[in-house]
Amino acid sequence: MIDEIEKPVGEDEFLSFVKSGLEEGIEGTPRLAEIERAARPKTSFWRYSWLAAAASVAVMLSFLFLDFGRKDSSEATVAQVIELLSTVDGDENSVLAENDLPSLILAWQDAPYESAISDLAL
Amino acid sequence: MSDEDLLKEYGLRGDVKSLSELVRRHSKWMQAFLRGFLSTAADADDAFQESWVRVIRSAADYRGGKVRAYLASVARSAALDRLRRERPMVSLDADDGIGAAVAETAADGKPTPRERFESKATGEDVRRAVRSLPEGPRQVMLMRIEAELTFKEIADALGVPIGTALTWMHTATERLRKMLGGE
Repeated sequence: MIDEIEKPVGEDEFLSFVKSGLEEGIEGTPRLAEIERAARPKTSFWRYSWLAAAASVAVMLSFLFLDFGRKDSSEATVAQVIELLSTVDGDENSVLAENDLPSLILAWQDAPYESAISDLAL
Repeated sequence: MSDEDLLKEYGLRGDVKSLSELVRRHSKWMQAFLRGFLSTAADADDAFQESWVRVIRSAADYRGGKVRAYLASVARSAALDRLRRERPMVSLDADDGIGAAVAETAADGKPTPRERFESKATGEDVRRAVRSLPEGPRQVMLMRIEAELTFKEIADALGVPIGTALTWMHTATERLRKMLGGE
């Protein structure tokens, strides 16, 4: 506190008085916790960004595998349909011969099993 | 560990303890410095935090040099940004700063800073008087007595010739003496 300070005379003394006035009442460090928190994301961001990148790659890969699995499943379904139809008709070529096999396979590839049967029946 | 080493340590490795030590070493003068710019302690505290956030963001680019001069430049910039953002109508270079400061207290019938100083002066009198200085003299005064920079460092920080910095310091001292009754 600079209350009741003597009247300063010399320049150094006067500037010390000004400095004391400016610093009056300042104690400790305000918001050090907030400053430290602001400092932390800089270090943790890079650490966690690798985890985030790895997780993203894992998710992308899982989608790819799921997609491949679905394709395999669709192809299996088409094969089952063809086999079923040949069994029902008793003649492998009776139905398939009247249809363009590649276009049928393309049409059925992503269709559910029941839908493929229904379309063919029509 | 020197200030320079602490700042480099934080900039290179993100060592929060190094940053905390820097904050502890420099917090008092930086707060006083900012209170010479901003009218409320809350504004000064906000600018203090903003200054350190800027240090945090630019620490990786620090390539050496006196840390006090670096911090003073950052704090000055944060204070001026805050002044311009929040009080755009205030002229920082107004030559009538002295009269305004005196009138501020005289108009309401209370004693002027000079009258109060003759019996007892308070820190708020000093802060108000410093804030009323024109921008150049005020910055030189604060960089000199709070940041304790040389006039060469002050001139470099402000981008003015050293003669200008010395003149502004003289102007600031004389005006403060008149306002605070120390002449």
